[in-house]
Amino acid sequence: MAIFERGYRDLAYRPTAPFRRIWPIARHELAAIFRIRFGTVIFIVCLAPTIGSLIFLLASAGIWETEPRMRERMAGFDPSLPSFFLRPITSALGFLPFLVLTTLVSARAIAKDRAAGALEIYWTRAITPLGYFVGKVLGSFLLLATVFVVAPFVLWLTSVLIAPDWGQFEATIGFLPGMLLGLTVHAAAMAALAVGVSALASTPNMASIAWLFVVVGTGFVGQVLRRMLAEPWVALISPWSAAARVVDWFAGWTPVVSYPPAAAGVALAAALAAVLGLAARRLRVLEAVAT
Amino acid sequence: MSDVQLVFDAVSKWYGQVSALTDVTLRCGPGVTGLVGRNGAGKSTLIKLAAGLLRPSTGTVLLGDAPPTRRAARALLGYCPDVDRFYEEMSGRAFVAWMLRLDGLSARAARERAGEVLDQLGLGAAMHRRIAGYSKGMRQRVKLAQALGKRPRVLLLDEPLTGLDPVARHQVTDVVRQVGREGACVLVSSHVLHELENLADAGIALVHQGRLLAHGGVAELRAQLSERPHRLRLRTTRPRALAARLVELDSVARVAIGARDVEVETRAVAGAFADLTRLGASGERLIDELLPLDDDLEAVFGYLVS
Repeated sequence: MAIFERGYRDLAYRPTAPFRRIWPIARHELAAIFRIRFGTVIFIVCLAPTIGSLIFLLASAGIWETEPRMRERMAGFDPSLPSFFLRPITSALGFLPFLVLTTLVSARAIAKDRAAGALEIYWTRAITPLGYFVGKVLGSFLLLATVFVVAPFVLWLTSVLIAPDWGQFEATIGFLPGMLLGLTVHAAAMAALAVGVSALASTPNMASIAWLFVVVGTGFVGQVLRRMLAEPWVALISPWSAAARVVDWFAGWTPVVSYPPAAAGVALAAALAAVLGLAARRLRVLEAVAT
Repeated sequence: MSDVQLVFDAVSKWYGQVSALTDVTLRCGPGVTGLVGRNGAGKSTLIKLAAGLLRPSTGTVLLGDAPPTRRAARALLGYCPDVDRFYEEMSGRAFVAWMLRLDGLSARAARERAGEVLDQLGLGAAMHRRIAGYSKGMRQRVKLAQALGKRPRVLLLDEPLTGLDPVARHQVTDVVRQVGREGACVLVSSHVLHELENLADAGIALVHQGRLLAHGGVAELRAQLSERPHRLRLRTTRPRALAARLVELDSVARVAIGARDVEVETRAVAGAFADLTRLGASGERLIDELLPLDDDLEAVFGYLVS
């Protein structure tokens, strides 16, 4: 008969607060792009639209003041308007970096853990599926926010610093908080959607394909339906279009092709509710491992 | 510290129409309990049930006083799964420390503890290298380290010895045995019986096609095996002469002659070994080598199933 000692002792430590347990997951996710091949290059390329705007801003310093007609002719490139800061983000130009970042990182976040069997280890630790999901979304949000919130802010700051007087500051400070808030909501909603889609898929590649359908497929279908039905709001079935309109609304800017902001908000909220509801079901501890 | 028991009470588990476990009742206390069965026998299902990753279709699983799906029960748990394909880009220490941070250790405490436990498992020199460059055995030890890191009261190890070289196997076995001796409840699965013979001091549970065939000490199981028919291969240069002598023995049931050996089916292996030892020690030098043919899990199962 084996005789067992009674010397076994739990590891003595004071558990950290729940948020501090989420943070390592968020940080890991935030750095995910830099761990893939050419990740740093891809990240810099994703900043290209904003960098382009920055170069344009520096090259055209003083032109707006000395040539008032320029302001009329190139309204879209006027740094005193929200469109100047939003164009690199919510236009087709900004869509590509968004698509690259979310497809390569956010949309694979949970699917790659599921495929690797890592969820099993998570679920036996002092972290809940909700905490895990929040950590993934937070990391993904921080990555997107770097490109889609911080970069426009740097662009704005540069425009203020190179201006000859306080004119640029006075012209833009009115819409800046709303614009940054809108961009933050946009990045957060898109991060949550992409990670939510990731939670539904079994493999990272499936998750990427599903995400491409969610953002590109719905956009295409939305545009086709918009033309067929002659109803502009139908395009809002694309979460990207809906989120972009929400940002514009926050910034107080109305683009040429516009949709009702309330409808955009409802469409975005509905997409989030649907995806997150399914993700919550799929991430239940007993569901995540059994299949 | 009070002992924590892991209890399976009449547990069954189905995946749709497929039965993975049927009416398993098992109680694991302090020490190392071995869980042995072929691939697909239900070992991993049993371990996942204990880890709270699956819910039994019928029956009860208790970890201490609570089902393992409860957070309080999960806090007692260390789990080492059979897969090892995660986070290749991290170093061994970073991975273990990261996992410990999810258990609530501070960054500094997690780093220190990770280093300590990896060192204990013989990975001290390699702990700063990326997991991508690790051998199968090193990955196994990293996986084990993340389970051992918080010193859990219940340790669930799914095939932890697979892929380990003899030195690593010795190190891992020592650490797991020590944890069990100190009073933790350890459940270790393997499809190789002899891997667990020296490790499972609290007993071995044999699982086959989702059923618990036997549970008891290694000695008890061995005693049962010695009472059953057994096949042996005797290497010899004179197979016909040896066969002639073998058929005279009461303990031998059947003999098959080969070119350089004789296969023997015994009635009871204990008596046969005694007879063969006498025959081998006689002056005729008829037996060069004796090989048990069914001293493996397959044979044990064959015996228990029949």
